[in-house]
Amino acid sequence: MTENQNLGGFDMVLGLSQSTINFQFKMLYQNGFIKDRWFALVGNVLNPKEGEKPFCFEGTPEELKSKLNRWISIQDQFSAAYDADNIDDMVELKNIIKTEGLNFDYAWDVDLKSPTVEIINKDPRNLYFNLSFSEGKLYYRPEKTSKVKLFDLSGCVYAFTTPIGRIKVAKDQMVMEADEAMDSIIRNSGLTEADFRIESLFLNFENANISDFDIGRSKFPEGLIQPFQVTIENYFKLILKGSTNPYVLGYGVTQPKINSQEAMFQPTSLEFSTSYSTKTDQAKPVKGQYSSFNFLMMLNGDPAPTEPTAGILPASLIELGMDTSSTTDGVFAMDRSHFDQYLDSLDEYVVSVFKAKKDVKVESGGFQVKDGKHIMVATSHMAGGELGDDKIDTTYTLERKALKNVSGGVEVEYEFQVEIVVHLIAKVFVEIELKKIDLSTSGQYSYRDVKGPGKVGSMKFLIQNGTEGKFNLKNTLEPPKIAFDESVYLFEGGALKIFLNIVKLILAWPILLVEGIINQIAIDLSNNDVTKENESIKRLREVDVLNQTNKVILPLGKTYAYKNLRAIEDKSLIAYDITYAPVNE
Amino acid sequence: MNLAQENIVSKEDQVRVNFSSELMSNYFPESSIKGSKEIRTFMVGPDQPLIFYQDQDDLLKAILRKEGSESGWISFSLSEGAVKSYELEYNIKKGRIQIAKVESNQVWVSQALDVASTDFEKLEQALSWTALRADTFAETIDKVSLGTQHVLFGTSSKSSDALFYLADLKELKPESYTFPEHAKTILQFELGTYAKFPGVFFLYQIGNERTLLFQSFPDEEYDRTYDSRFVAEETLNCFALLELPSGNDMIYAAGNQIHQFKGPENGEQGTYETLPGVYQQVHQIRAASFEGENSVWALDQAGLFYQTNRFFNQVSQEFESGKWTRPLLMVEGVSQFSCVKGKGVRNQLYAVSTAFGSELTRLWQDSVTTLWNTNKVTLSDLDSLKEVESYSAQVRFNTASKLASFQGQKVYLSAESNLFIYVDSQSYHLGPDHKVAIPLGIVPEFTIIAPVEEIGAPTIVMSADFLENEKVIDLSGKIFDKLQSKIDKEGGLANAKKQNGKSLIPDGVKPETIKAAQDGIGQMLGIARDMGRGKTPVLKATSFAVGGAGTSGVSINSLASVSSDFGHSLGDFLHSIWNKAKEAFEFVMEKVADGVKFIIKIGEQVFNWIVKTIREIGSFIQRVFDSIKVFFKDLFEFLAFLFDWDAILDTKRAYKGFANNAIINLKGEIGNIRNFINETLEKEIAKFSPELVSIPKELDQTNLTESSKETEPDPRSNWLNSKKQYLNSGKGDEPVKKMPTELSDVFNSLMADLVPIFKETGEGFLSEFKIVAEKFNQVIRGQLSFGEFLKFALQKLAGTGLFILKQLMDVILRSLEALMDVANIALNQVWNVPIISALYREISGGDDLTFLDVMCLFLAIPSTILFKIGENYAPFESEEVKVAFVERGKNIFQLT
Repeated sequence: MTENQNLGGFDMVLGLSQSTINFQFKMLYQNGFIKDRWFALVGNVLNPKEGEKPFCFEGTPEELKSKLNRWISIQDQFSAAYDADNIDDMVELKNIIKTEGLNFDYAWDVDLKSPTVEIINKDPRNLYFNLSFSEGKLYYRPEKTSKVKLFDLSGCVYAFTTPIGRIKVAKDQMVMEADEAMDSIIRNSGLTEADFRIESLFLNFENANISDFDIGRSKFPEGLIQPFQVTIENYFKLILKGSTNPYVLGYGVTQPKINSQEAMFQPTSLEFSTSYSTKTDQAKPVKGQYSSFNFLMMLNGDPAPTEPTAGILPASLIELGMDTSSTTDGVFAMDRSHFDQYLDSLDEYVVSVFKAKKDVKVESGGFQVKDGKHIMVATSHMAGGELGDDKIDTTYTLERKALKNVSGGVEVEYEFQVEIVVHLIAKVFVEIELKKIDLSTSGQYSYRDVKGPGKVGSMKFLIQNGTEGKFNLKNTLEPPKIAFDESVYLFEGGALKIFLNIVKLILAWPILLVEGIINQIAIDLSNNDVTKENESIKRLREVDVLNQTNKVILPLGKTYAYKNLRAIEDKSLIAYDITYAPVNE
Repeated sequence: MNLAQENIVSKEDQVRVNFSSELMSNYFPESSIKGSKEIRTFMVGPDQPLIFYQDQDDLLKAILRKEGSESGWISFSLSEGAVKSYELEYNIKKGRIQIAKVESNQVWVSQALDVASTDFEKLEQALSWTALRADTFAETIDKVSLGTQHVLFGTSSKSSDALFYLADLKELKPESYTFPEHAKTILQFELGTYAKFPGVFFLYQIGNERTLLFQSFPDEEYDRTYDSRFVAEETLNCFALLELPSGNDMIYAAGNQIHQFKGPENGEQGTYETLPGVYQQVHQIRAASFEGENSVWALDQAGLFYQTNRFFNQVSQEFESGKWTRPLLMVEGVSQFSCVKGKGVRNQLYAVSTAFGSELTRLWQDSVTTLWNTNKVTLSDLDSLKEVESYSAQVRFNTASKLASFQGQKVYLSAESNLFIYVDSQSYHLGPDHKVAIPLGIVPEFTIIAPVEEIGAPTIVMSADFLENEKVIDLSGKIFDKLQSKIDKEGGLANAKKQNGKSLIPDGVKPETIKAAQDGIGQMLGIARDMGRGKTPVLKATSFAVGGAGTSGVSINSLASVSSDFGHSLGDFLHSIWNKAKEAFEFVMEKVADGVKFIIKIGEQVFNWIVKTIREIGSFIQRVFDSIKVFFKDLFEFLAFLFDWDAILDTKRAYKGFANNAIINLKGEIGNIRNFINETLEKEIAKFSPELVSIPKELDQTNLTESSKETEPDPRSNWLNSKKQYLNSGKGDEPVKKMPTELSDVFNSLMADLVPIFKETGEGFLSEFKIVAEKFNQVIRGQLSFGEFLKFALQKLAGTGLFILKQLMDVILRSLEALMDVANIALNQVWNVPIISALYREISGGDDLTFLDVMCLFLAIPSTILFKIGENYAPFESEEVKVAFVERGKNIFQLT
C-alpha cells in the first residue's frame, strides 16, 4: 500500500488543536487534578556532603509555614554569626539546624496557573510546555552560610521543550522511552482509548518536563535564572524519584479506565507529531486554534514509517475542518484506500443478497473491476416447469459509483441494470429458437403490464457518523424498471401468439425476482416502505447481517465524537470533524 | 371598635376551652385542576409552593399556595395561546426567579423577579415578557430552557441537523450552536454545571441511538467547549440534574434503570452508579435534595416511583445516608408530576394520575411520621362543590367574666406531625414547626376541618395568651373510643353493621382472621388511648396475625432476617409495599423505652419501626382494617356522623313558614311598636335609661342565628355555621350588593333620610350612627335580633338629645314599614349565596335558595341535629307540631 504523504506516511491521523489541549489542561487544573500550589522545603540537594540524602519536608500548610519561618530566622542568625566569625554561635546554630532538621537549600511557596503547551513552527517533533506562576516566592540558600534569599515568582514562566517525537506508548503508563521493544508491546497489548485521553497526554508531557529548559521563552526577574533552573530541575528530579508521588504537576491525574471496543479501523501503533498553523479564526482569533497535535496511527500491525519525514504533515489537518466552531476540537483523517475496507463490507452485503436467491449466480463471486468500473454481475437461468421448453436468462449488473460528498455524510450509489432475454423454443428433436425477446432497464416499449420506458435502478447508501464511532446508514432505493427493447407489436404473427402465452410468466418470475432483491435490501436496512416481513427476515434482522449501526467503525469513539464524514479525493483522504468528548460510563 | 385594655380576656379570666371532634363529610366551594401537562413547582417561601402547569389547552397557568385562603390556592393565567414548552429558573444567589416559554414559535422570557420583594399574589401583573426568534422561519422552536445567566432553545427542521440557541439574559440576542454529532431531534436539555463549567446537558437522537452530552459554553480564553458524554448500558429516555454543594450538577439519567453520574471534583474522577431496581421505560425523572438527602422520582408505564438515598436501617432504626432504597411505586397511572421538598414536608409531589381522576393531586410525606398523605389541589370556585371526608372539630372558649372580650385575640395552632386543615373554611398547614395564628371574633369559637383519607389523624396543639397551658385537640380520640365501643356493643367486629345496615366486613373474610384483627385493633386502640392521655402504653397480647398466617410465627428472634436491603421508612412502607402485598402478614408489638415497636412480617420479610405518635397508630389500625377488606370508605360509613337531610329540610320548612307569618304580622304591629317607643321616650324624658326600657320578651326572641351561649360545642351542630362567612367573603362586593335589591333599596333610602339629621347633629353623631348602622346591617344579615338592635340603638343614641332621637326613630320605623312591604317579596326571592346555594340545591333536590331559606337553614341544621341528639327524633317529624309552630309565627310580634 502506498503511503499517504498527506498523513506523513501513516494510515490515520487524529489532529487535536492546541487550544483544545490547553483548555482541557485548564479543566484538569480547575478540578483539582493538577497541583495549583507548590509548598515544599527541600534539603541536602545543593552540594550535599557524603551520606546526606536529599529530602523534602512534608506537613500541613501551617507546619510548613512555621518550618519556613524558623529556617529563615536561624539561617539569618547563622549568616550573621558567620560574618562576625562567631564560632560559638555557629556551633550552637548548627546544632539547632541539625536537631530541628533545618538544613534546607530551597523552598517553594507559590501558586501555579494552568500549564499550557505551544506548538512550534517548523518543529513537528517538539513543543513548548509552559509552567506559569501566578504568585508566591522561591526561598533559596545558595551556600550553607548564606541568608535565605527571596525571589518573587509572580508572573514568572518556566518554559521547556518537550520532545514529543520520541514519546511512544506503553500500556500501563506512558514513559519516555526510545526502546525498540516497546513497539512490539504496543502491538501485542493493543492500544486502548485511554491512550488518547487528555490525562495520558498530560502525563506524557509531564514526564518529559525535566528536559530542555528554554531560557528565551521563560520569564523571570534578573538574578533568578540560576536558582530558578537549579531548583526546578532539582525539584522535578527529587519528586519524580519518590514513588508515592511520581508527578509534580499531574498529582491526581491518572489514566482513566475505559471499556474500549475494537473498531473496524483499530490502530495498532501510536506516535506523535505536531503541525503548526498560522491560520486563525477571523471572528474569534485564538493562538494555535488551527495548530494541531497529531496522533499518528498505523493499522493492521503494519510498521510505522521510519524515514526522516515520517509523521510530518504538509499542513495541519485542522485546516481541513468543515465545522471549526467552538464545539469541535480537530480533524480525524484516514487514507482513502483504507476506507475501502468499509465499502467492501457494503459490497459483500449486496453480493450476499443476490447469492441468497435461488437460481442466481454471481460472476467471480463478487465485485470486480471491468473496464475501469467497479461492478458485480449476476445471472439467472430459468427453464422447465411452466416455461415448458422456453428459457429465460436474466443478467443483473450492479455498478458501485464513486463516493459522493452530500449533506450530512458520504453517499455510495449502486447502479442496478437488468437484462432479460426470453428464448422461445420449439423442440422438434432439437431445440429451435423461434424468437428471442429482450427486456431491459434501457428498454423503451410497453406491453400490457410491462410499462415502458425502462429505467436503471439505484441503491444509495448515505453513510453518516453515528454514536461512538459507529456509522448510521440511510438508504434510498429506486427499483429498476424493465421494458421491452423492441416493440412487441412488431412481432410476427406466430411468435406473438407464443409470446402471449408466456408473457405472464415473464412478469411473474424475473421481475418478481428483482422486486424480491429490492425488498430484501429494504427490509435489511429497515426501510419503512416495505411492509412484508416474514419469519426468515426477522431472523435475518437478529443476525444483523448489515446492521452496521451496531458496529464500531472508527476507533476512539468513547473519547471523540465524530461528524461530517467526507471524502477529500485530491488528498486521498477520508476526513471527519471531531470533538473531544470523553464518555463517562 | 376599640376595646379598652381591661376588657380583653386574659389568663385571670379562667377561660375554659371546649372542643369536640367528629368524623363527617364537609363541603367546599372548590374545583380541582384537570388534565394538566408539565407541572413545575417553585417554593416562594419555605412552605409556599407556586405550581406552574399547562392546562388541557396547553395554556400556561400557575397556582400559589396561600395560607388562610379559602381553598389554600390562588390561580394565574400566564399565556394567551398554547405553550409548547416552558421553564423556570431560580437564581439561588440573587434570590430571583425567571420564566421562559415557547408560544407561537417564539421564545418569551420574563424579567427576573426578586423573590423576597415580589408580591406573588399579583404574579400575572408582575410579569413582563420579551420575545426571541430563531435565525430562519424553517426552524421550529421545540423547547426552551433557562439558566441563571442564559436562555437556551432548541430548533429542528426537516432538512438539517438540530441546532440550539444560546442568549445571555442581559442581552437576549440568541446565537446558534452546532452539536458535536449529527443530532436530529433534541429530546431534552437543561442548563447546568459540570466540572466547574457552566453549560448545557443534552439528550438527543442520533440515528437509532441517543446521546446524553454535556457541552460547556465556549471558554473565553480558548474558544473551546468542554464536552462530556454519559453512557449507560441501555438507551436513555430522560434525565434530571441535581445541584451539588460544589455547584456542579449530578446527573440522574433513566431508561429501564436509573443511573447516577457524578462529574470530576477536587481531584476525584467522576463516578457512575446504577441505582437498584428495574423500571419499565422511565419517561420522566426529577431529582430533589433536602438537607443532604437525595430523592429521585421516576415515571414509567406503571406509575410514579420514588427512590431515596436516605436508607432506613431496620436494625438500628436510623437513617443511613448514601445508600439507595429500592424504587417504591407511589402512584399508579401517573402522566405528569413535579416534586419539591420543604419545611416539615419531607417530600411533596404534585401529580396527575388516573388513580385520582386525572386531577392535580398533592402527595406529601410528613417529616415526623414519614407517612404519606394525598389531597387534590383545588381552586376556590364558587360554582363548584367538593365533598371532603374529614375530622371536624368545633372549639369554643368561655369565660365567667362577662366583660372580657375575645375579639382580636389570637389562638395559635400547631400539630404533632404535619397536616393541612381548614379553620373556618380557610386553608392552613399545621406541624411541629408550623404554628398558625387564628384571630377570634366577637363569638369566641372556630371550626377546624381536617380532611383525612384514613382513620388516623395527628393531634393539634393549641395555645393563646389567655390560656394557662397548651391544650391538645385529639381529632381521632373520640372516633377511636366510638370504634371500640361499637365493636364491644355489637358483639365483635364480625357482627358490626354500617349505618346503612350493611355488614361492615364483607363476605369471605375468615372468622379467625376477623378475630385476630379485632384483637390487634383493640390493642392498638388501647395504645392510642394511653398515648392520648400521655400515659405509658400497657400491652396485653403482643402478637397477632391477619390474613390466614400462623398465629405465632413471628418473634423478636426472626429479626435476623430483617429486610435490611429495602431501607424504607414506615411511611414509605405503608404507602407502597403494604398496599401491594398480597401475602398474609403478622404483627408483633413490643414496648420499648421511647414508644411502641411494631414488627410486621409480610411473607418472608420482616419490617419493624418504633412508633411514637397517635397518627402512626391510626395508620396501622387503618392497615389492619384494610387487610380484612374494610377500607376507609367503609369505616367512614361505620363511624362518621351522617346527616339526615330530610329532617333538616323539614325543620327549615317549618321555620320558613313561621318567619313568613311573623313578617306579615310584624307589619301590622309596627304602629304598636312606634307607639311604644314614643311613649317610652316621652315618659322617660328627663331620666332616660335604656336599661329600664322593657322590650317585649317576644321581640327579643326573634333571633335568627344560633347564639354562642355556653353550651357544649358540637361540630355537627355548627356544620353550616362554619360556612356562614361565605355570605360576607366578598370577592370585592359590598354586603349591600349581596342582598336582594328590594332590601338594599330600603336600606339606601333609610340612609338618604338620615343625611339631614346627620347634618344637623355633626360629626360626633355621625360616627355613633355608623356603629348603629353596622348593627342594623347585622340584623339584615341575620346576625343580630331586631330586639337586640333596638336596645342597642336606643342606648347608643340616648345621649344625642331626645328630639333628634325621636326624629331618628321615626325614620327607622318608617324604613322598617317599607321593609315589611318588600320583605315578603325580597325574602322569598332566589338568592345566590356562594357555596350555600349550591349545597342547598344539592340537598333539597334542586330547590332554589332564598334569603329566608338561608336564614332558616342556619337555624335548622344545628337545631335539628341538637334536637335529634337530645330527643332521638327530629323536631318536626309530627305534622301537627309543624303546623302549630308555623301558626305561632302569626302572633310572635304582637306587643300586646
